[in-house]
Amino acid sequence: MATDIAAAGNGASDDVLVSVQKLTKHFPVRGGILLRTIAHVHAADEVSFDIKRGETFGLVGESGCGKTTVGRTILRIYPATSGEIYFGGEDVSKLDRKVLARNMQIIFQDPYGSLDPRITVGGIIGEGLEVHKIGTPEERNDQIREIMDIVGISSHYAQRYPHEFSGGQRQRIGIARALVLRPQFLVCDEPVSALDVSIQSQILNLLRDLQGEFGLTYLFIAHNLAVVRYVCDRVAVMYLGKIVEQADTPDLFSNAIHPYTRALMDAIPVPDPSEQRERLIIPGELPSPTNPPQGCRFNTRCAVAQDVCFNEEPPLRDFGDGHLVACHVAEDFDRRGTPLPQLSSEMHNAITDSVRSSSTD
Amino acid sequence: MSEVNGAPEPGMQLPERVEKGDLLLSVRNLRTHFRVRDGVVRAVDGVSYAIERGKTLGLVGESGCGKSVSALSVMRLIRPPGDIVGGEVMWQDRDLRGLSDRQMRSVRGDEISMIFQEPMTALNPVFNTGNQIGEVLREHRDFTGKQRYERTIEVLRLVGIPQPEQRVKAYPHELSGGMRQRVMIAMALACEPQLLLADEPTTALDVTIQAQILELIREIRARTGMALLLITHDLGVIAEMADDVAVMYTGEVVEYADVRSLFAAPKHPYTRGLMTSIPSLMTDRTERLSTIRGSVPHMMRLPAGCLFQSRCPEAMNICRDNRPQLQRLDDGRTVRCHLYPQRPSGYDGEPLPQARATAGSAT
Repeated sequence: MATDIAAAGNGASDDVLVSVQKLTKHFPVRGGILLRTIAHVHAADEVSFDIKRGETFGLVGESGCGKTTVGRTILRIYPATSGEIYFGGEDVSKLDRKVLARNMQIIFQDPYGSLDPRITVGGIIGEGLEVHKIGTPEERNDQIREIMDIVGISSHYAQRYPHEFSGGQRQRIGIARALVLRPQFLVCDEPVSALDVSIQSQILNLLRDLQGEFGLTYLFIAHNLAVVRYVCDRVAVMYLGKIVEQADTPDLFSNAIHPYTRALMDAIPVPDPSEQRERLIIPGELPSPTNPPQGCRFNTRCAVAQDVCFNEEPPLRDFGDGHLVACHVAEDFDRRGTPLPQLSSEMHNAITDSVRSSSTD
Repeated sequence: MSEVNGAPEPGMQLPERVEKGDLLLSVRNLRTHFRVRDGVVRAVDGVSYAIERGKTLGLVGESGCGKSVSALSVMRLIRPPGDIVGGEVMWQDRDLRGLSDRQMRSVRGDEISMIFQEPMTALNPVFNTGNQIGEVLREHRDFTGKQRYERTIEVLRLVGIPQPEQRVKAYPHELSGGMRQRVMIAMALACEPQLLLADEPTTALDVTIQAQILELIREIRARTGMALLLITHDLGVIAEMADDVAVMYTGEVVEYADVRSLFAAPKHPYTRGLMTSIPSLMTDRTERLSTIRGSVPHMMRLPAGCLFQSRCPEAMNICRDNRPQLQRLDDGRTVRCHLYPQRPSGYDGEPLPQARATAGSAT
């Protein structure tokens, strides 16, 4: 395992473990008496990125941006509408489900809802081993005990039920369940956002330790930018089903270019009362993903939108060192630290109204 | 065992500056307990805090520390099996605990309002926006129907809801999370309260919407001179909004100071742990996060001594059996920790070398 990580450090192209190409996922919206499909929720539209072996790739955005959908579609929990996903060079849609499950696993956000209350902790963790018929019952028990110790739950508790554990311990159980088959790739879907603040750092440290120990590759899905900045090597920012910006973590956090990313960063409250600052507050809310705006999807809330932004969808363009930005006017704001103008809520309402009337024409 | 905590030392509960301020609300030694099958949960056990006119007090702590229950106690919204068993809640010159239910209703929603974390459960799903705001006005103001409607539109506009004439007819389920939170704030502000109790007002919202709502609260506060009790677990929100901060842990205030002193030099090991364990945009990415070990103790199995002892990196022998009292340090702030024994003036607030030595020998 350790040699794998060392090899991954060389930056060759076959270091890519997971490759997502033009992934699109639409969910049908049914209505009427016959429950016909009347619309589609555009949860993810032509999302592409590569995750390198041994790295942590972050997917951030607000609720409804499609980040969870992308994570679940990679694992084939949802079938993709179109696009391809490759795992170690192989097309995921053609892989056997069991092979998939041994290589890719997921940690869920809610440590209360994601563990079956009627099964003992040992049973939950060992279920994967049983399904895959790995080892004798005796060997399985050894493996369960081993993984419990690794994630920091005493293996004496294997016969207890989930309700006997606190939120942080349950999240450790969820991690043990995901790791027992020794996958290479883990989707962490908001793994700490349901936990008490004093517990979050314990779980983040554990995830970091496990990555080193097992040479894991993570897709880390979260809305908390401070957590993402600490955990991830590279980050993609999603807005309404699209990646709007992607870069190495230090680059993204010091040189955010896209107006949405900048607003997102400005919105984070800073735990330092002596630091006074002007913040860029974007008005309005996420438009409906069933009927995303024409052109740039951020145009209803963007203070610098031009005519082109209402007509043409901006492609992701490389601004150097793999810093990708999907914005027509990004060049104007690629002067690091240029303050963006503020859009007033009156202007925002006027734009929203005009966009709405033009889309119904 | 609980009696250890029962005796307040008069005058030492609040930071010096707050004690001397023009107090709008003063909660003294409040105790709210819940009688459940297996015993008594002391959700709020001897809590004191005060809010000056026009100022903001932040209440910080993790789930179960009693911060919400203390605010609900101020509003007298505690239902069985919960009961306010001690202390006083002075609102200007009246003790709210002594008011009749009817008198309390006239305070609630008029002089003091409250907003909650989850607007969907706080709003009534079968009434539209206009009805719900109108109800507050009907209770507290002798308005004609037309005046009520006009005031409703006015507050909806105040909280930044576009096209209020249309939204007044909307039901809660037709509004987004951010809009619902605005409607709830509009309800709370309809009678221009002097104090707003905000219980995790932005926790359920996305960051860009959170920024909008915090900006809105700031604006209203500046315009109306309203005081604010802001309950949150997010230290970032506290740093941006509060004048003073009370940190709570398992039903007690463990540290109470003005916001700048608290962030510049947190004194209680729990406060320090909270501040260093949460990743911020300034955290060094290459370092491991520092953690607070263990988890919050079960509220029915609290230890005899300091309630934080099992998680405290600096616990000493004395912490095991002696519940520390809140005491005021020389800079005027208060802290509940044996690391800070009362000292003659000139003491700089750092733990004594002897205390450290004891900590070492205890392990």
